[in-house]
Amino acid sequence: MRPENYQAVNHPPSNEYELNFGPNHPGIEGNYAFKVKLNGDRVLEARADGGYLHRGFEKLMEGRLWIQNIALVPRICVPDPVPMEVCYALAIEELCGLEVPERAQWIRVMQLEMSRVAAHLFAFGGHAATTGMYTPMFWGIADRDLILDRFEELTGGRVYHIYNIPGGVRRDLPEGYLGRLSGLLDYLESRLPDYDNLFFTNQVFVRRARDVGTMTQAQALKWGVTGPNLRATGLALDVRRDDPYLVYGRLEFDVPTEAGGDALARNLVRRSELQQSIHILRQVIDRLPEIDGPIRCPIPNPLAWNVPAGEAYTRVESSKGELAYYVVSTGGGKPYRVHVRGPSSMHAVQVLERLAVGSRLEDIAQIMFSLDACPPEVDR
Amino acid sequence: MSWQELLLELTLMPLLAFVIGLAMVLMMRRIAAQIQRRVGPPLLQPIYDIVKLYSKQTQISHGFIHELGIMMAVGGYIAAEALLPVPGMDGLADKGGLITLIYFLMVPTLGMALGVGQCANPNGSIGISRALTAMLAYDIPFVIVVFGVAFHYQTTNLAEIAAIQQAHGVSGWGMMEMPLLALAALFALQGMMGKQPFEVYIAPAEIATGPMVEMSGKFMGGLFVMQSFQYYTAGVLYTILFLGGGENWLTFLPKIFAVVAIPMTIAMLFPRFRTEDLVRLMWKWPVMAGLLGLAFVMN
Repeated sequence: MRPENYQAVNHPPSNEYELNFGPNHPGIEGNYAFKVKLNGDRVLEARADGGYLHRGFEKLMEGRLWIQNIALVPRICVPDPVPMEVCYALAIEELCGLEVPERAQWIRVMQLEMSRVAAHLFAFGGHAATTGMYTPMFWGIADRDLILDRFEELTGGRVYHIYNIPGGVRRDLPEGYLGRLSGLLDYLESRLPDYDNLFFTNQVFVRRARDVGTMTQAQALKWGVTGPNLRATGLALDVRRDDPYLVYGRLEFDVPTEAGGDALARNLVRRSELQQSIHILRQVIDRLPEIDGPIRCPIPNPLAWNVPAGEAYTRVESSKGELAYYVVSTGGGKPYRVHVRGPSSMHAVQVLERLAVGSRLEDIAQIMFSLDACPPEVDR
Repeated sequence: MSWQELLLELTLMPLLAFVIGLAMVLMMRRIAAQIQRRVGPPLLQPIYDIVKLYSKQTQISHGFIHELGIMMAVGGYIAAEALLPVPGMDGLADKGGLITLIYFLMVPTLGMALGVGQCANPNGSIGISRALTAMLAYDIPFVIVVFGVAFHYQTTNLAEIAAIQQAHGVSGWGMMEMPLLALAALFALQGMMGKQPFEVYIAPAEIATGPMVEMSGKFMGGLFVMQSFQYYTAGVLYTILFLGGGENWLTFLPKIFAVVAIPMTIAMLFPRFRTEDLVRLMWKWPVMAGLLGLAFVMN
């Protein structure tokens, strides 16, 4: 504002003031905003303010062919796109009664876990950066990039893969792919002690993250919290184990939990999950070569595909929590209704608003990043 | 010294400080890049940044005090350079000394407080209140260190302090004779440079870069220049107090670059404290180390 245009505003005397976190702010995840009223550095009121990313995904899907929406759904969560593709494909397969070949199921699990590892590496970095620690962020992004290399080799796309189609996957694994993936897992495991020393056991970070944004298990259940955020309150709920899909029922893995319910506990749960995902990927690498067969079942002409009338509700465990698709078909070539149950809808709105009240200014960004919310899931 | 020679020194000293400060900015970015497993910026990046910022049209000005604040921020350091002796040039070291230097080093923060306060941006105001609190925190150990050094060498003249150390070789360095004060000074240095874990007043994720939030174009360029001077001043001051100053540029430059490299390396490995944690830490360990060091010196 130029000085000649500056007009002093007389506010009534008050210790309270308002601050906007976003939509353009280093302390906000994606194009999202958070408005807070503070007294000193203590938050009195907090209001989530979404809509900056609204592209109407759900409405758009009603106007496109079933197969076209495969290119749309990964955009609902950029850091973790594979669960979107798989969950949508599972819903159509349920409506059509398609039997996905076993090999395709293993390949889907492989991608889902790769995507989870990539998303968690991204999440650590974001959380670390909110406390002024940028090294884990750069490390995480660099290591995530190696996973994106493998995605690119498999699917042709680094971020949006558009690889999981109803009935299976688009193409088989390239020659020697599993060996290269195994090498990548070796590398990632060798990096974990570095991450631990730098970040997860860093006492300054631990001091900053402990008792920040704490929720009890009862609160978490009441507010619809799922995924690592729920498991950080001590409850071992995981769709992969409790309602297995694909071949998860045949895999061995733990569901890590922490008791704290705070930002530190959420972070530590993700760190343990990363190790579990590597463990799952190793099992996939061992089993997949033994499983021959097609990578997708026969499907009708995608451009003239009328999905039988009905409705389907499918859910998967994404890196953010329980992701579900509710799909309604009237027997036409396009969906009648698609509803996406993105876990961030709860985490970034009702949970964040509640956890922020009473917290301090310096912890707002940390609370948001520790919830690992994905704003496009809110603005879907 | 004739007035012409003095004038030449007073012109050359800030200029050298600026050029070396830019090199320090580059070095710090390169160190950060190495630790963060990045390539880092090219050699001339600090120059590009300054040219870019100064060639931009300034979008926002909040009036005279806003502009004066930036001038104070840069001017405080330029004035400080005249008191910091470097090889071949003593400047006004014999007339000002350590006490005057302490005052000059407060001017930039106070200038920023004035300038940013004029912006009426809550993020800026919070940043400045944090910066002033941080200054209060690190100035206590810093003043103890200054008092200890002055008492030990029986002078506040920085040129004399450097000369005394140089006369006794490495064993006569302040770091060897006053290790506790040197340690306390390292803490104060980290706080003075506003690096993690003491980076409370920039805190991008918390207060959207605080004092810098309303600075665009040339104002931002001013802050960039100030940062260059800040790094140089911190490096030179510590070198003179504890590392024997510089007998010549060949020994002086490695020392000041090494001093500045320490806070940067530490900064890449820690998150930032909360403001009260910063104050608590500064008033605890560095003050205790400083007071113990002072007790040793006075005995």
